[in-house]
Amino acid sequence: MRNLKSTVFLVLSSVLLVLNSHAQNLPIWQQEKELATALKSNSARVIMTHYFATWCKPCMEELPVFDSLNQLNKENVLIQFVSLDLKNNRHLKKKIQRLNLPGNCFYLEPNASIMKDSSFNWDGTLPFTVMYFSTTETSIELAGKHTLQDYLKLMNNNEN
Amino acid sequence: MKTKLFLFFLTIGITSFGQVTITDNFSLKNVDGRMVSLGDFPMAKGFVVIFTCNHCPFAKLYPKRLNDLNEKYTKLGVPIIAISSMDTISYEEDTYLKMIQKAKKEHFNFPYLYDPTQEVAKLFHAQKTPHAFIIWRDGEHFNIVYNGAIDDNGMHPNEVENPYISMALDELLEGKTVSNPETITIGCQIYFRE
Repeated sequence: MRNLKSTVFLVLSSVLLVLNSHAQNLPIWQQEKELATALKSNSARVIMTHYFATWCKPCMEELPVFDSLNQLNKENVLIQFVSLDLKNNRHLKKKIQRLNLPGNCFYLEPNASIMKDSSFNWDGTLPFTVMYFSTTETSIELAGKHTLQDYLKLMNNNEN
Repeated sequence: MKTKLFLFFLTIGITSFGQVTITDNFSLKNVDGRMVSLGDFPMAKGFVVIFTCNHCPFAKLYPKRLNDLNEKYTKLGVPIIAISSMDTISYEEDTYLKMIQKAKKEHFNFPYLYDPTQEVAKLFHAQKTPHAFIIWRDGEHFNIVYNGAIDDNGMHPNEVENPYISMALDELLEGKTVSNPETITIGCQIYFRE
């Protein structure tokens, strides 16, 4: 009986350990699934997916723009972040948490498979942003760093 | 560290077939203090030109692979030349002094050249680090015959399926044209000073 209890305890501990270690990582980005979820659960007219990495200086410089965008357009815009950092671990998760991003952050391993699988025309440049306009069902892909004005202008021009 | 002096006689132009040709001349300072150009390599069939830098996490994944490539292909007449064109005002880690330290630490067996004016990166239209080019001799000038990534898996060298540079060089050395002349490269963007 004691043996059985010990075994159960060990199994439960292992399961908790595994669950805990997963919780220490960012969720893996699944483009189709997350876009569909965002469309279903949110009335936002613009869904922005922003690909960045914490090692990428222009990416980090651009991040405050998304705070402003979120403040200005909370009702209309949903922003999702995708980190292409080298390792998805608790250090990355902590780093991302400290950034206080105005949206969920996922992880995508930056290797060749993302180029093969991606449905957009990405040339490998970071930051990279995809703006999806739900009313017109169209999207725009933007490589490199952009300003708040750039994004606002694109929204005005593409929402109708 | 090999300290061969190279003489670059390069400019960039586009032939009627759309192939990018390099015919201008420039010389850059190597980490050993000597000016380096292509011209000292009259026997070279071509060169692998890698735009790289110290700070970029992606560039940091490749020193061993670059040493291995240079070890193999220099003997076959295609040496590697690495160039850092990063803006050292934005990225202190990419200064010339830090390049010297990097080359020592990584035991670079190829020249690591400093492009302070970013002119050479502009000639090649290099956009990121690492960004690889193969230039192949065509009489007095060189044609860019490959432009893109070093291979298809920066993070996991053991899981590389397509070693693009090796594949292209093997084709060229067999007298063939490069079947995959352009690939996408992930890395840190080279920001050009205005």
